Amino acid sequence: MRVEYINPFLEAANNILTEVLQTPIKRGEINLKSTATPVLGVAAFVGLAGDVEGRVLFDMSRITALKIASTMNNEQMTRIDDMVKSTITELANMIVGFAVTRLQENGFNFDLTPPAIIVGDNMEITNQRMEALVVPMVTPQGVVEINVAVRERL
Amino acid sequence: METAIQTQGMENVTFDEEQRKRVASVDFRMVTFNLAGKEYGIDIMQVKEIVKSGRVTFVPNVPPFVIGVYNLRGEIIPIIDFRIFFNLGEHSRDRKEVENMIILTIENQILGVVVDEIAKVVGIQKASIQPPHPIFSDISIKYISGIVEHEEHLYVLLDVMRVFCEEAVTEDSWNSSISAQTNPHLSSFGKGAGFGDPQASAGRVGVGMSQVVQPAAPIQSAVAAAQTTEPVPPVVQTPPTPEPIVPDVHISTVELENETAATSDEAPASVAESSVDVNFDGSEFYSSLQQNVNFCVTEINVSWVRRQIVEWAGNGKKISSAEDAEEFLKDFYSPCTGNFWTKEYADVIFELLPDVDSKQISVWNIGCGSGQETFSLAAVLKRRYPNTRIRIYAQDSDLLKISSATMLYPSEDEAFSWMLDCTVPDIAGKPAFSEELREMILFEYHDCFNNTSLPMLDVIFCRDLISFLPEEKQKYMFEEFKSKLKPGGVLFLGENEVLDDSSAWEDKMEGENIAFIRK
Repeated sequence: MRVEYINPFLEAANNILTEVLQTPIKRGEINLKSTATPVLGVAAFVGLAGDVEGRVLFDMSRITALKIASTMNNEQMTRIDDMVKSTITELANMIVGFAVTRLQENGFNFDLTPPAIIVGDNMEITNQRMEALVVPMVTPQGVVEINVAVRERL
Repeated sequence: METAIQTQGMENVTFDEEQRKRVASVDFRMVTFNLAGKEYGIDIMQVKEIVKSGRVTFVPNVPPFVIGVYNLRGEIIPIIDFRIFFNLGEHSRDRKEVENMIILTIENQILGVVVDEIAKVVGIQKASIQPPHPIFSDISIKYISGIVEHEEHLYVLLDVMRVFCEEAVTEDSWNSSISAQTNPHLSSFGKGAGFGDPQASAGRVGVGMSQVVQPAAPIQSAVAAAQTTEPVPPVVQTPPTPEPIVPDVHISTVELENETAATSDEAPASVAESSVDVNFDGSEFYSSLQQNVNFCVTEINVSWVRRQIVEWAGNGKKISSAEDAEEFLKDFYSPCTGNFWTKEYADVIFELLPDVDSKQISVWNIGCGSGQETFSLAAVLKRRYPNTRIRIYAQDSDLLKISSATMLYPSEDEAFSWMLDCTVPDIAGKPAFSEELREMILFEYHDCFNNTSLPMLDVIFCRDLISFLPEEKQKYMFEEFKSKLKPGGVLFLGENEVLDDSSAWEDKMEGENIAFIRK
């Protein structure tokens, strides 16, 4: 993945999560994967287009999703309902939106697709001929894995 | 066509009884064509029809081998030039010229390929297909399913399934693709009927044609194959013990073997050097290098390691820590590792670079570290190919190093003053690399263990990286290099790394430095 793309995503994830959860966030070890990666349970998905082609996936367990949605809405959520899904979708949109704005400032032209949310058990995601940058963000609510796979248009 | 083949077979009095039987039981047909002076065949089950036309519409933003789209009776299909696809040297294209196109059906997708000349349909027996020989064809062996002889012609059988669905040669996809092939008539009927009257009749003409050329037997066998639960081998079944059928084939294999023998004579001298003392035991050193710095001793570096061990063992030294290992490897690294290149080294690389006449040059710089090597290389490339678009894919799996590479400033040391041509003063008046040079380079955070999508390359620059990969990974990387590098492209390895594979590579020396040219 192009080096210039990495920082905007890290910065966006850090800023937005710190802001919405009102607590400092730790970043886990950044790594690269091209094999099938398990999806933890709740995944928000945003497609990227423009200079590049690819996608960003925000992956977390159901419990983490519930806790984050509870914190963001200031009320206790107990099951994955429309409100929780909508909250997580919005979180994904905010982070990717922030990153893409940063990238635009640096002269890269990115477009977004509307976020989608996927909930289920035993899922995995595979990138054919693409490498994914995996950044675990450790919050008090649990780990949110940000999985970015983009490549240049040849 | 079938009758023609049989009459020829009967007229030929030299055919013995067994061969006559073979001709009689044709169970595999292929469309043969000519491409860059060689003859190839494609299984007729995958060929929809043959078209001669020049009306291909150019489409922007597609890979270079897609020359455009074509309107096949109302259906828009992509057209691929096999010459470009397989790097067989592009021939100048006249817009008005009529192209020979073979229309293929692959997993319900229709696409056309342009070849030099379409010959004829040839019927053979499946059992006569022999496994491919790596040096027979210009086309990568993984796309070849076999070689077959027919009437004193050798045909290379292309496996179009593998060409166009590279990843999908699993058992499942074979099953599904074969069952998809079993009703090509149905699908083409359906398509034909969807259009107005004239197209529908045209569609029927197409179906008629394919019924003539497609015999019933392969369809039945394909159905049977699709029904079995056992793993289905690729369409072409190669016999367990390939026996030469006609003396001609035999002769040509012998010739090929002679050729291999001849080329291996020219192998680099270092090979002989490395096999001087066979009883040499450096296993202790090998394992400590592996443990401490992941340095893996294999064919490519063993001759240097042995020399170094002899020296160390002579002094009674041992490797017991990572520092020792680094000390041991101190002289292994190529000149100017981790720094900008000196004028002398830059000139050597300049001489070793290939002559390229295409408009764009793609370079893969693996393990570029913090970018000194890449910027030096970029400066040399710019001097070597002033009027060409250059693209360097510089990759490293060390995030810290590669992140700093984009912000690198040239060194002001006198030794690197040759690079000053490529710099402009920044706001503070310090020399910085010019925008032009920066735009050539794409720094990527990438792990070479993972797949990546690169175009075909002219130069691969990979110094002192391969030695630090595990052995099976080294083999994988060389396969990658072989398939990604254009013929005539150049691979640079570390100064003390040797590549001993004369079937695919040729050495090019400049002083003490060596580069490897892809045959």
